[in-house]
Amino acid sequence: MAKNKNAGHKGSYGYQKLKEREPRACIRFKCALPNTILDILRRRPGWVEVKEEGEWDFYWCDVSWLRENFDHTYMDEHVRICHFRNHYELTRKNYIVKNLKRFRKQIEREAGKLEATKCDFFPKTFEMPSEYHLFVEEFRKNPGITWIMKPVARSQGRGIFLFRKLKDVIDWRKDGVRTDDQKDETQVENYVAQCYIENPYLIGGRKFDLRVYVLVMSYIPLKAWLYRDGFARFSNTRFTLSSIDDHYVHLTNVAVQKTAPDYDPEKGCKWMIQRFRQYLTAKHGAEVVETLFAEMDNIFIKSLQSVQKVIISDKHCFELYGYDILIDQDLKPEFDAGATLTAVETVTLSSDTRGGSSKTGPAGVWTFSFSADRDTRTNLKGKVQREQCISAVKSTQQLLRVSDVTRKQCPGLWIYAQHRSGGPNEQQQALFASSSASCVGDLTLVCTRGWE
Amino acid sequence: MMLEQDTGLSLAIAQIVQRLKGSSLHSQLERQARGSLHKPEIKLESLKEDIKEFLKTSGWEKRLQNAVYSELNVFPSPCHPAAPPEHMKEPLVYMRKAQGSWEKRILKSLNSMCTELSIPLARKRPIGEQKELLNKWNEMGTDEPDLSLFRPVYAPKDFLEVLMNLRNPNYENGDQPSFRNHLGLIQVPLKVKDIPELKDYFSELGLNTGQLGIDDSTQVPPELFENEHVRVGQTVLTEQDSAAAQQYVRQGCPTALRAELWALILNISNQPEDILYYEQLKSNVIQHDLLVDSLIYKDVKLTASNDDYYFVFEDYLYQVLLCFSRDTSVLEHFSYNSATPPKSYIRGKLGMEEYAVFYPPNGVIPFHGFSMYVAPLCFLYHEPSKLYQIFREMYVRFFFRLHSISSHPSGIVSLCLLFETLLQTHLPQLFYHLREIGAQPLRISFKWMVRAFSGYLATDQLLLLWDRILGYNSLEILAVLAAAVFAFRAVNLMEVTSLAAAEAVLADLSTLKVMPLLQIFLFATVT
Repeated sequence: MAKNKNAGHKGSYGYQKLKEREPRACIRFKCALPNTILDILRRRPGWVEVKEEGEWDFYWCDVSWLRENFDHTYMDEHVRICHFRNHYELTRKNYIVKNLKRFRKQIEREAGKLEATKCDFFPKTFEMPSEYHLFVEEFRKNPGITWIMKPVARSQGRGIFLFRKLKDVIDWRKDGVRTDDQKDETQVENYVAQCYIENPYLIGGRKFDLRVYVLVMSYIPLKAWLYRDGFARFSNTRFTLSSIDDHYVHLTNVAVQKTAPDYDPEKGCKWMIQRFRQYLTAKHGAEVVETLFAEMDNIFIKSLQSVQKVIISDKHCFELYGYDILIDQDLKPEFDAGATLTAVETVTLSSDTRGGSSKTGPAGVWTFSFSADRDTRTNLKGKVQREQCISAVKSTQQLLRVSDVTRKQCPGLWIYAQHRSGGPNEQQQALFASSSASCVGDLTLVCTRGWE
Repeated sequence: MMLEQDTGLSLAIAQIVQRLKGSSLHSQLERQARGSLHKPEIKLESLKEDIKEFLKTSGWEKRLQNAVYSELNVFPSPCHPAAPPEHMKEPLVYMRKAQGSWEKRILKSLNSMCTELSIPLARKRPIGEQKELLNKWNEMGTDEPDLSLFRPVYAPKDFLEVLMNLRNPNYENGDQPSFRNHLGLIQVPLKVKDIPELKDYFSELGLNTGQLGIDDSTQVPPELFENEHVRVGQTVLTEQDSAAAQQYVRQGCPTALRAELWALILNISNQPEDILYYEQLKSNVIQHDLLVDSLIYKDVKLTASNDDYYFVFEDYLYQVLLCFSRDTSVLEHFSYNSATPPKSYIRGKLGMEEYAVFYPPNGVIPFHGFSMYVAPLCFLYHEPSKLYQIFREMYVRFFFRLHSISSHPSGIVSLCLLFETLLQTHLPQLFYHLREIGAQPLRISFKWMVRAFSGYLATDQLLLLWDRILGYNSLEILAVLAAAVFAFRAVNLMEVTSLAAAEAVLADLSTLKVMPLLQIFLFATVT
């Protein structure tokens, strides 16, 4: 279970692409995000990090850099960068829905209705405010079902709410710009309204979703790799439809779960997909599970095909997508709008300890999270450097105590970072948060690799 | 000689008949036989044979066979008609005495906690509380009672101390204590198998026999073993034959068939009366609150809830364990368990036998880690009543031996001795080294064996291990695996210089594959 997600693919791949003229003994990389990815890159033998303005062969960039610089940057043939120019066609919720709908129509025209049903893996979705009337029509056709409203450009469960009555939506529209919107942005934020799965598959009474990673090396021709071990993320509380205001029940993003009052950072709330698969096989038999996974493969393939012609193909680009899949009671998978890995909730490098409540762990066990709000990032860039380090605590007890106090003082998203180092009894934990009051909404956070 | 065998056999038959009489299977058979009288093929002249034939073809004979087989597996064979009942519990006096004094200690600990916290051992819940609990039955994990004052009654390491001090007063071998005969922690002369005997006993695990856990890995084409094995498994299930199933699972259960195969071996069929019985236990839980409930809560919160994979099943664990405490049918297993259920007296009537009750009602006081016996089963069974029955049967067949002092070959004392002997005989250098640095191997492996490796191995590996426990109806494989783990990590262990470092090397077993380890240790090591 100690697989590093990215290393396997990129390692061998990078080595092949050195130019003939200048045989270099190393690969120069740059990484914009201080998290797992940076760590992995640093540890690769023969890969060297370049400073601010140096030349690079490999850049794990953030999207704002891409937006500003991609078009003006010359890249040698061997150079690789981790985003496609218009990646948002697949990652922003409204665009992917638009592309999928269009693709579906195309299939229906070309191959008939039956073939088109293979694309029915996403719930009925409407863009707001542009498709508001279409939405109302659909809403009226199916009274009583629950809908979910999601902001297009945000991740990690922010700004999401559930509703059953049209009145709730109308009220929300009237409220105008909501409190967590950008003060600086003048455009109206886009949302999508989606049918909410009311009968999710539950394990141990809990709702969960599956996170699966797909690496796309090129769109033309379409070359994609599926990582065998994603994970199932569990909600910390038991599922019931009676409390649709309770974020903690319905939203399974680890980031949201972390703010739930009874969240225990030791718990993790995740199963690796292999384990999930074994559980289902024991319960339903191998065939049913094979079908489920084949249908999931279909989701990945169709969604990539739907944007294949739209994405600006560039041989320098590749991208790692994290798909969120929901399973309903009948073991049918549903696609829940993918997100790119610049907004990663949690990346676990290797398994946590076994054996009950033992706090000792093998060398290098990590659990940490990172969050970046794409839209506010540009504004926060200056403030990120002036991070306030609240405190570094040395035990879980202190960790929880501190968080209670500071949580009240500093609103925003709290992330816990834990590093278990080599020795059996050492455990260091650090709690970081940035608390600039002038930042709106949720905040950026840094992950740490422990004590420098 | 023949006479003895005959009397032994007829005694066994008599006892089994005695136990099955009055069981629900008995009344069902009678009902079936009576119902069959209407059938045309039953003739008055050959009534007995015809009914027997009918029972055979309708599958009822098989069910009887399974029940008999189950009884044979669970109850030890009667030694001698004149043997007192204590001998069935435990034939050796010194072991009985040791178990008795250990029990006294546990009870003292429980009573003192009770007095300290002034909590009654049992009380009736007020109606409001009953209603609340009923509403929350499926999500008891969301409850966060204050358990900080409760401590587990004992932990495995306390038990190990007791075992280390076990001595047979009749045994005097005249040797001066030297390193040659006092290497290990266990100092009682019990007979344990050596490797040639183990090879013979576990012959189906040999290198030339296909195994799940080895021959179903992705590199091996399924036509070689896996497909056929699955097919055979399905046939066994169709035939509903317990004995065949037990033989079959020695090579491992396919994931999809495991739940049914285990139920077949344990003879669990989840009849309506079983479901009713479970519901009855549930209402007992609702009506009365026991002190042990808090111990159970604490244990679940400390162990299973913190486990990466079992945390999901937290609610099921409460539903099973709280009911288990109140199940008086579990008291039956004390006839072959060296332990005796603790007695408690109604308030104010201390010493008066008419007012004595067993406490807890099932006679089993949970210790730290107890809930881990149930957690892996949640992967297989999702209906609470079936999960409950499977667990109860697993407990009264196997798990009880892991925390009571007895001379049984599957008892924890024998397992510890087997482990130490295997290690001393086949890795003497490692054993000596660890002993010299103050890291007696048993101190590390004890907790694995007491929990049957639950929580230490990855779940799929654990289930493969428990397949073999069921298949061989013995826990000896736990000791063999423990020794195999040490053998596997021997190189690293030879380099450590402290107990803490040795523990660190063996802290994480989650990546181990049990079947290759067992095979190599038993069949591929040069002895």
